[in-house]
Amino acid sequence: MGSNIKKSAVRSQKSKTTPLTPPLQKGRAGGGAPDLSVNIAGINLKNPVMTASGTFGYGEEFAPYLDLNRLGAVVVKGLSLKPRQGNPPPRIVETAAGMLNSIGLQNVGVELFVEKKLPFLKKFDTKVIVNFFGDSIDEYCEVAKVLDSAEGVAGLEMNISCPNKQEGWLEFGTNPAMTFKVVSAVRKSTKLPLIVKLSPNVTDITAIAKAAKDAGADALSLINTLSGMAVDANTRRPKLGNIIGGLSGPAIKPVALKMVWQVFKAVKLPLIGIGGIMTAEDAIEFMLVGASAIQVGTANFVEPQASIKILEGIADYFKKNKIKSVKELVGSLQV
Amino acid sequence: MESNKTVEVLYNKQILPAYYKLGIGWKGLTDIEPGQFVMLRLTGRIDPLLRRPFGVYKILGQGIEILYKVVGKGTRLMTGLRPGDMVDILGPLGNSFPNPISSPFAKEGQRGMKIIMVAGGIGIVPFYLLGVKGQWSGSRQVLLFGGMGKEDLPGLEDFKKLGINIFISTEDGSVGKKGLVTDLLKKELSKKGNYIVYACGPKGMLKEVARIADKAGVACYVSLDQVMACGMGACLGCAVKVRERKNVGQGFSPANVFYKIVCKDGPVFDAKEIDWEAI
Repeated sequence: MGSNIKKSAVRSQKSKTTPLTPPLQKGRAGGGAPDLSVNIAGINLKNPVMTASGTFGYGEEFAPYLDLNRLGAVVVKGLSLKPRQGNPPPRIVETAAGMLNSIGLQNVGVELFVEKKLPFLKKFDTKVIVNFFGDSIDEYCEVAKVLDSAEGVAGLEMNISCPNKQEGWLEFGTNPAMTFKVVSAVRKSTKLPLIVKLSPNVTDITAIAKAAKDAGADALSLINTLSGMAVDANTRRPKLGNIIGGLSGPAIKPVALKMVWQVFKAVKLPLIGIGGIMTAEDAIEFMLVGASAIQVGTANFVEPQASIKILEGIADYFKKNKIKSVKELVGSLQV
Repeated sequence: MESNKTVEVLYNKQILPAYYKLGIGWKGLTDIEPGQFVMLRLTGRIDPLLRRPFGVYKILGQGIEILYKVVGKGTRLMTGLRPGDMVDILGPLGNSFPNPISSPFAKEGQRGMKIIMVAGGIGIVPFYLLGVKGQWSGSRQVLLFGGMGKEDLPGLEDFKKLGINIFISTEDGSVGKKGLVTDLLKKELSKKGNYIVYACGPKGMLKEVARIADKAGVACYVSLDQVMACGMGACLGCAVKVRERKNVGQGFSPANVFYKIVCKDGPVFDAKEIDWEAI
């Protein structure tokens, strides 16, 4: 029954969309497709390409443009216990090779997500990873509990770092003791694989990574956006309604690569690399410094099919360089 | 049905010092309604990084025409586009101006309905399709077109050819009546009649148009412009504050959301919905 649903979903998707790129296996000469599967935090992914939280909505927004079945995982927009309205506009400003956002974690709330958004995503043969956050340790735990009992969630990604919120929870991700406390509490609230998403706005990211590991995290994803701001010299005003926001896009890739490399050397946990990945080459760079999987973020806005193009490029790279598994590449940087 | 394509530039011509017309090939083009937009970027570039939203000005036999104003880095680069260059285009996106005949405020005897189109500068864009496609049964149209000066009235010749009744205002008085387009609106609404107002232009202008229409008890729809990242309702970047707390947004529960998304819920909104204090 389940597989029937998936097949029909694939068909209806295809009939609705612009021509889809053919599956990797087809039309590619010699030896078949490379094995791109990878296990992160106990989640078996068919490939290491995920979509980053906040850049892919709840999946349905992108369904007209790409085949969701091809993705390793979809990471949905961050959820809180109650719906959130977000920050005043303007919420977006483009900067040099990047963008600042201060969306303010607008979301439908965990209950409406389970009721209205999750059923759509369950139809696809991809893993659904749910990003979530809270205002307090109790709220984190409550959201985790709701998701724990929802069918179709493969794992959780815990946001301890979003710089958009003005209230006190920023410190969860910037302080090892607070990180340990909140991750420990969530760990006790869910049996699902738990990924902790790290903030780059810290003095020593390895200290936070260790705290998350000690508290029971199964994997780490990094980095979230870099805190930043933009000013209009003519109006003498900030360009964002919230004054400050989070920087993403190609501009932050060097920072992200460095932090993945630092954490890879310091902590034995699977890592998911995020930060300015626009091309397959970018994705490979993250694997070389220690990422077992990657997330495509801002690139989804620029090009709705970016994640699929990156996936195809990774497969080509594996073939060309005769790489047999993701594992072979992870952390293999020559220094 | 929206789609994402890489298509060819047919032409790119300067019509006024700050305004250009860009023709884009688009085979298999589906219907585009007045008010809809596309997200466009120059193929292969990551600087500028994000696509930019542009209203569709005309539908050509082989594609669409975009009328754009040079305002920043992205549009400056666009001026260098030549026939045969490629652009990435996503669309058509968003909603459109409602047909006044089928809209809920339509009254008996709509034959006397007059559509007042109020445009400020580049805000003229959605009205050409309205002028061509929107000559809904029995409704009449008038265009109130305002700009800083005579070089800030792009596409005026096109509208003259459509045979629409046009009133012009410029702030420097170089053409038409010296002053603001909203003064023309006040004058138009002082005449007896059954009106509906459609407006597009700078936020300050829209705010005043909404106030005047509300005072006159006339239905008013505005097309809003907001910085966007995706244009697909995913990033939630192009938020606009709304007054109503019920039945807003995409599936959000009532009383908890005060924002709508311009790309998906708009770009055309009933002016009564918008919280103009927050604009």
